[in-house]
Amino acid sequence: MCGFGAMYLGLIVAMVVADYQYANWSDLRELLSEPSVRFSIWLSLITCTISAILSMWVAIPTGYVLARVGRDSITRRFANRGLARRCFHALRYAIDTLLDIPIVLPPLVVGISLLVLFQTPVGRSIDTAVGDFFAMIGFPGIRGITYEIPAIILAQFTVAAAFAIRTMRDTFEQISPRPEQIATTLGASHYQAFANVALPQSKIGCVAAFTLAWARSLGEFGPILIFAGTTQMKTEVLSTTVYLNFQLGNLQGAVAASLVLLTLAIVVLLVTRFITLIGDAQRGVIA
Amino acid sequence: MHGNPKTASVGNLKLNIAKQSPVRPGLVSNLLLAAIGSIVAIGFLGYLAVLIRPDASTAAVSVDVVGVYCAAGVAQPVKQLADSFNNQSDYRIEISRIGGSGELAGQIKLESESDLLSPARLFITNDEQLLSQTSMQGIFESQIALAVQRPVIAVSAEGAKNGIELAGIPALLQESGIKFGVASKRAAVGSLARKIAADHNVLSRLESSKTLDAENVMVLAQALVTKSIDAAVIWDTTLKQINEQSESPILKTAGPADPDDKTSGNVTVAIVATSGKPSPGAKAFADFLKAKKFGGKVFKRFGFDPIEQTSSNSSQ
Repeated sequence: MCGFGAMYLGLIVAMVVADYQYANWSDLRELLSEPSVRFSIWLSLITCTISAILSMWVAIPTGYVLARVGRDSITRRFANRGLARRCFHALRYAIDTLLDIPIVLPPLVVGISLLVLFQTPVGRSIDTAVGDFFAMIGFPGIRGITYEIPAIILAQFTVAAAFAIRTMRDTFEQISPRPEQIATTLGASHYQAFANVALPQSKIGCVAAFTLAWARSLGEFGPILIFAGTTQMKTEVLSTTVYLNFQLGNLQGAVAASLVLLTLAIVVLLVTRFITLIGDAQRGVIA
Repeated sequence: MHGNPKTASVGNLKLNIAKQSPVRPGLVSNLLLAAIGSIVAIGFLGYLAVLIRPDASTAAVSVDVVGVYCAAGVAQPVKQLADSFNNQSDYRIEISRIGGSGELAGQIKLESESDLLSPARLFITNDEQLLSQTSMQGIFESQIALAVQRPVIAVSAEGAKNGIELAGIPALLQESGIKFGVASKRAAVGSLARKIAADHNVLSRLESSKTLDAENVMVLAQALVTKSIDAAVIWDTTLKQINEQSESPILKTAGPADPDDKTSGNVTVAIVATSGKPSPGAKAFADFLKAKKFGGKVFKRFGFDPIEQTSSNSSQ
């Protein structure tokens, strides 16, 4: 059992080491001196952070509701109403399944679906409205959502939010609802019980969900390729820099860009672990 | 619960039981603060994202932006030409997609037939045959042949087979113990390799003995660079482009793909037919690509043979 785990660990380490060994440091310097690459790094960092924040807006309330409106809670609430209970169970499972769709769909399908969505009359009017908004605030170069920077954020958010919701649901499921119930008996509203009792306890889960959403957004490629395109200095993010360098026959450049991506991912994971450790330590002191 | 008899605390919530007031007046919800903070952060980051894009505030809406779908094997010269065109023109060329010719043509067809939003106004390919297929009728309004390239059998300059000489695909298939790759049928060089093999009655042997069927010529060339395969049928220009990235040669030609050395592929630019008025920027860039002093010069530098323009080279 341990052997299989060690082999997998070895594979990950070997891949990382191979990348660092293959890379030529002068290529990396050359790559980082290119304005288009610096643009793609900044755009990646900014869009990933926006996508991760948006994912948390959706993930915290959705994860909380999914965790608290579980099977037991529905059964308790509709104990004497069989049909209503069955309907609510079915509805909950349907919502749960729908939220998993972006996780199981091939990334290219997510991109195609977004593209198709934005050619419907509603999609086109939203696209035009966003273009008008950017023109109004002094950015006429952003001509809407499709094939523009907002497309990158939407493509990243669509997938990342699903992962964040899963993480937040698991987090709230681990937290006992008892303190919230006590808070409501002491006069707190449901909102206050959530905001002041449940949410502070889910701090570590929030950090994990945010990191997961951020990291997932950083690695996103397929939907961005289809929905935002790969235009340099416009919609090029780090994952597309790797692809473009590869397509231009510049393997060294592709590996160098991969290293930047890899380094960012390692830094983010280390910071998260560090924050989690601090959180654990604090909890230990309190206990 | 703590010692004070008049207050109770659950998590971060402190309640005054005696007054029956759930929260202390003036207490600001942390959740509200976090929500406001995140809205401000998104606004700031969004502003930063559009601010770092050089043309976000300067590009007038009226500028004709021409999206280009470009075959991987021609991307390097086209990228350079697009940059110099953008510097001297009122139009803006954006290379929206780079990939295999068949893959890109398929996407243009899909976007055109299903009325999807598409940036594609020009398609630059090295698969002339593809443009004349019946399934592509009506997709392009005109096309111009720009340059010629030839399929060759390439080997790694430092690999075990670096001294080998092969007079065509049939000779490659007779070699034992050689791992070779071809591009997929969707890539121009892949369909040409299969045509040569079919002409010499070795197509089934080619299909059964190839190690790699790569998506496009660049993916195939990279497999050769990393020595995952010993030989590959690629364009002579791809070999040159790969070698230019290093001081010493990375790849070598073992021989032409066609034993008679008569097979070649034409780099062609096709203007995508649109339902609205034709894009003048697309026409201007197509003319720029075919001009001897612009396109011709750059294509030559990248190892292509530019085609001298006559009326028969362009078709409506």
